[in-house]
Amino acid sequence: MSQKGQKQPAKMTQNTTVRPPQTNGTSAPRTTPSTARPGSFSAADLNRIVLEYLSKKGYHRTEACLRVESSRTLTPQNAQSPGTTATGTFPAPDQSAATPNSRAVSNPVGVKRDASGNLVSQHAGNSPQHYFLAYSMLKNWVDSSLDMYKPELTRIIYPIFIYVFLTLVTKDPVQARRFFDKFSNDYRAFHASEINKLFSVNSVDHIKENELAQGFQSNKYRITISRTTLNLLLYFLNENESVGGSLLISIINQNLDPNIVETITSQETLTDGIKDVSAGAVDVDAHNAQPVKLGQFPMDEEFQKEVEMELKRKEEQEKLDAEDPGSHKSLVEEFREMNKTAFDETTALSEEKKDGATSSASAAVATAVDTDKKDDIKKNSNLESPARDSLPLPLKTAMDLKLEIQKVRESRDAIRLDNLQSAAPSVCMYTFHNTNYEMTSLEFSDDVRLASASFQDSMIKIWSLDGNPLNNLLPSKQQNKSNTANLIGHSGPVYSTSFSPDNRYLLSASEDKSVRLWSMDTFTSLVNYKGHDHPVWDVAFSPLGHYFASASHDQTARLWSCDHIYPLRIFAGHLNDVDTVSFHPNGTYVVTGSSDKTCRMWDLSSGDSVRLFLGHTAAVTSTAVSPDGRWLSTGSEDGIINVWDIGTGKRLKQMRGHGKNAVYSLSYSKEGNVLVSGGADHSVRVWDLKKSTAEPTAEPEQPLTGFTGDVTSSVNLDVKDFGRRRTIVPTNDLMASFYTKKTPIYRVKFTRSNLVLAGGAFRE
Amino acid sequence: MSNQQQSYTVWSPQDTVRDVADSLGITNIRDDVLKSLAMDVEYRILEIVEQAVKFKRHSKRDTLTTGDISGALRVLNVEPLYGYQDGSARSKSISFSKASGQGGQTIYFMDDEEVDFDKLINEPLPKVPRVPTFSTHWLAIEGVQPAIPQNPSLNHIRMSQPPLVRGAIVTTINDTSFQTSVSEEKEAQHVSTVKPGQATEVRPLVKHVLSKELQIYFNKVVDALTSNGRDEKSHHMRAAALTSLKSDTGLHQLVPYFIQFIAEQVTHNLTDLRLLSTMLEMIYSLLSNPSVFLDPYIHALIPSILTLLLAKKLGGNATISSSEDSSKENSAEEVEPSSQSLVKKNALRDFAASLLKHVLDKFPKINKALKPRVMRTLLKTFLDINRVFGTYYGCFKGVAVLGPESVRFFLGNLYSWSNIVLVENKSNGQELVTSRLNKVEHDMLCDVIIDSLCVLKQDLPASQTYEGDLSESEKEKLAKRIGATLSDKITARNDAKELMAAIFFGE
Repeated sequence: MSQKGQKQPAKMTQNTTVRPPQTNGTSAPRTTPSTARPGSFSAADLNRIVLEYLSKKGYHRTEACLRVESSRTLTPQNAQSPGTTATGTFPAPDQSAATPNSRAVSNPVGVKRDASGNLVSQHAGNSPQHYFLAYSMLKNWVDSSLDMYKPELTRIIYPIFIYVFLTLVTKDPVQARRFFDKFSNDYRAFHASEINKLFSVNSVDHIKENELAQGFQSNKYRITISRTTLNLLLYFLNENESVGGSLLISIINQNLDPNIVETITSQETLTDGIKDVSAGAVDVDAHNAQPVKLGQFPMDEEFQKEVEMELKRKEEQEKLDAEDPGSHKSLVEEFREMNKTAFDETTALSEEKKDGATSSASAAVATAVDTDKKDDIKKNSNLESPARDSLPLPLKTAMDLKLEIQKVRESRDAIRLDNLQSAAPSVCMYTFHNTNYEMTSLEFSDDVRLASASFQDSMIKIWSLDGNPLNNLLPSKQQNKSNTANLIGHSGPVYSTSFSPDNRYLLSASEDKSVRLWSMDTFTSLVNYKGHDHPVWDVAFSPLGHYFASASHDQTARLWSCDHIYPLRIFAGHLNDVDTVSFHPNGTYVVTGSSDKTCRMWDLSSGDSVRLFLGHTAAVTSTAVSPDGRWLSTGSEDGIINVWDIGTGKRLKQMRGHGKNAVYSLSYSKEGNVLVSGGADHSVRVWDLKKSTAEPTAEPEQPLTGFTGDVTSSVNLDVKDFGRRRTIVPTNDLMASFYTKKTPIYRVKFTRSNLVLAGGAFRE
Repeated sequence: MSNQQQSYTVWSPQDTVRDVADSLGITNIRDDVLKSLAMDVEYRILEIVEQAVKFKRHSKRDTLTTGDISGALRVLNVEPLYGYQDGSARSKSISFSKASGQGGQTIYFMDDEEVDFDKLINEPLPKVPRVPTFSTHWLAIEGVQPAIPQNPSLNHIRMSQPPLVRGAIVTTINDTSFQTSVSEEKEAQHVSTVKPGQATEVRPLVKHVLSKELQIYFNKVVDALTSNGRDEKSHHMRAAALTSLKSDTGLHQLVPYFIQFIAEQVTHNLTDLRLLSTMLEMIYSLLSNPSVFLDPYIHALIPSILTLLLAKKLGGNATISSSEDSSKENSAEEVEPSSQSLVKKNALRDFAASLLKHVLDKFPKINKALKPRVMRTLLKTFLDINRVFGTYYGCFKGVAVLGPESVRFFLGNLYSWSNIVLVENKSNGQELVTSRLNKVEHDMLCDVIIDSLCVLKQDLPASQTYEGDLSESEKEKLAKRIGATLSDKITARNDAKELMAAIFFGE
């Protein structure tokens, strides 16, 4: 793709250099009487006669007035321009030639006004009205063009609109506003946030301050377009050169960076946009080619042995207790399966180390399947496990052992969701009442014993979900048996909380710029982490514990460890608020989503951005990485969920179905084939991730005719009642939607046993 | 400049800027200065709103509040505006009033309520808001949203919100939908006659999501269970169906339909004793199927059981001929002597009672919520003296099932109840057959009451033994407690002493 892009600009420059010099800009024909064809009694002739008459009589003001007004009427086409189009080149007005010309002949009023604003640019002499006309002409043409070209043309007309607007702002803010108000509605659907940002840009100063406008002005807008469409457009503009086509051509030449391809694919349009703002001045492809290691974090070998020992012991005990042995998978098997990739990794690594010398020993270990696996791993280097020493972790304790055993047990007893066709998840809904619009977030602990909710009034509330009273270890509070606890300490609204993997600690992020660590044994604040300069929006504990990440309004995400009060890493690179942060399951990467409509993945050890995910059309509100570490799904404020392949950084698919509201939370099932999402549209939705991707699905895809179920009938009804444009047509991987009564879903979470918990605050 | 070239803004008309300038003592400002200032003000306001929206978003609200604005101001390093504390805006919208001041200027001001200070001080404190709490329910069970009050009606969601807000409604789990093209189209056409906003009719919440196989299975089972045949084959089929319900896995999706089916059959066929007992057997089969998760449906099952327990009239009445659909078999039943049919009916009630007991034992968690409700229903029936024999019979059967503490609950009212229902009969006519209860019924009722009183024996300590007859004073005491008729009956029993002790246990 990048090769194509490099080839094409060269072509464009070639075009511009071949411009025929005889085209003299637009203003030439209308004020110079000589250009009017003799014989025909055109409007220009009439004007000329009247003007001569007026100047002879000394009616200078009337003359000036007429000049102004006559300049707005459409003048007949320059007889010379059609000849140039016939040559097959794309003529465009030569700016260097046009400028002096138009100055010489432009009407005096126009010059004066432009000069007084000291904004004389190469467009001087082209009054705002011309831009108006030119743009609406182009718009009409696009609207009436063939359907097969329309999508592409509508995409290219958007940057033209923006640049015309920005040019107008420098010329005449009031006209610019009128222009904007008149045409901006066409783009609200796809570029709402940009339109809103530019909405009130009224002066040159605002352009300088507004980062988006600045981005547009100081960078070229990259647009992927097919050759035919571009040719069509340029021909059209050429034909109507004098009516303003030349203005638009110059805008295209100056500000657009066309990436010409034969056929458009959706992958390529992802990188469209202003380079600097959306991509941070990096070549996305090169950026996303950095190697990453997405495999499971290897477990400490001694710890692993210890766990296995313990599991065996437990199992023997169980066998004594239970009468029917053999009905379950053994715990050790389950544990091995959970850490399968890690095991393969170690065997593969050990084999490489020994490399033939002691191959006989390892050959006994490695079965045929293992070697297959190993080959896969070698082929796809992205799936390697990170080295153990890349992330220093505290020593494991007896507590961790207990936790690990519980994990294995829950994982074994999990509800199977391998086949979505026959087994759909069950959702348990927690509705919070009397929150008075104050509740801002909700989090469930991994063991589903606790829930924490944060509030606008700086408070955090902990609930015990299983009905048992919370156990407070403080001697003074021990007799206090209640099933809620209040955590008081922040001095501003709390926006997010996160439980540690061992469920003994809680983190909270607040508007008061700090992150706090709380103990779930005593329900008191332990540490206050200060470092962010602005409100902290989100916080997330590492799945390995010890580390956590925070996201803030100061456009950075930071990495902390629990035992340091200062950040260990600062992840800077987003161009707007970092709204959400989550960890990669192997704990060595952090994924952030931002208001600049991008997601990034950061390497903990180096602190660098290693992946950039472009393609959202609104702020990213939630992120989640699949349990196998290969896929990332991100939800945005406009209700769209994107699924990315982390290894390549490419988008796998887009999942639509939520209303045009934020997707607050995403969660993967244990097997990684089901995603649930919850959003502001009061619904929990179940998605089949493997559908319409290259991954094999659990069973062969049903033929499309089989899919005439409720999906289509409900959507068809919507289309009938509300019209196609106001209907959300779901992608076919949306398996089910479960609505609540007026409860936006703040959090969805798959428990380790594959039950879905959902929660939200009821809106009275 | 012409009219259209004035400030283009809504937010800050030039007049406002001029007013501010005036208040700062600056007069004679040129129009273009005002204009550019106004535009700048507007830009700044938009800047603030943009930040404020972020605060709104992270608070997950859909309205912008004054708190968001002050948060935005703080972030932009501007001192927030005080006095517009959060919450003031939400309860009632702030209204601006307009007044024309001197010189034809219009002044805008906020409508603030004037508060009398004395009143404010002496006023009782406002109520403390309720503490946030949470409640739990099943949003979906294996992909199907149960139709419980906590879940909304999909049709309501569909009609009340535009699709852009609520998104697409998708309820299919398995692609092979139950509705095939023709019926679906019909359905669709039918539904679409209801336009959004218009009065909506209630339609089934959960659309059919059954595969064809399950559908066929359902029909077969239903046919087998409702068949009237008395031959060997249909007996065999019925037994097979019940066994299948008892043991087959993968029936879960059909459970709501079965329950619906049971409820329908029970309400419409109260005359057909055999069908009713089949229904009870069906309930029992479903209950004993280990792979069916019945918890969310118990609430729907209980009414059917209670109906059979307490129904006024079960089976064809001996005197009044039953409805048209009753075939020859029914009339054959009619010929049977009434006492025999009574026994049959009572057997059905006994069955229902034992099923109730089974349900309560099997679902201890639900039991907690269910028991009071069942109890209330039974108590209501009991206290209503205009019921017929069958209802009372079922009622006492049910009470006995609920356990000794419930029986004690009833015991308090037993005296007056038996005065009215049992003893009264005696005094009215010399013979026992009255308009309400005939002799057989009377005796049966007494027996069942005493049976339920026997439940109380569980309370007695196991070690003690009770021998001998009751003394006169004890008899009197007993009669005062439960009425003469019953006490006579008890006295006649050989465990009278023990029963007596049980009745007065703990006093």
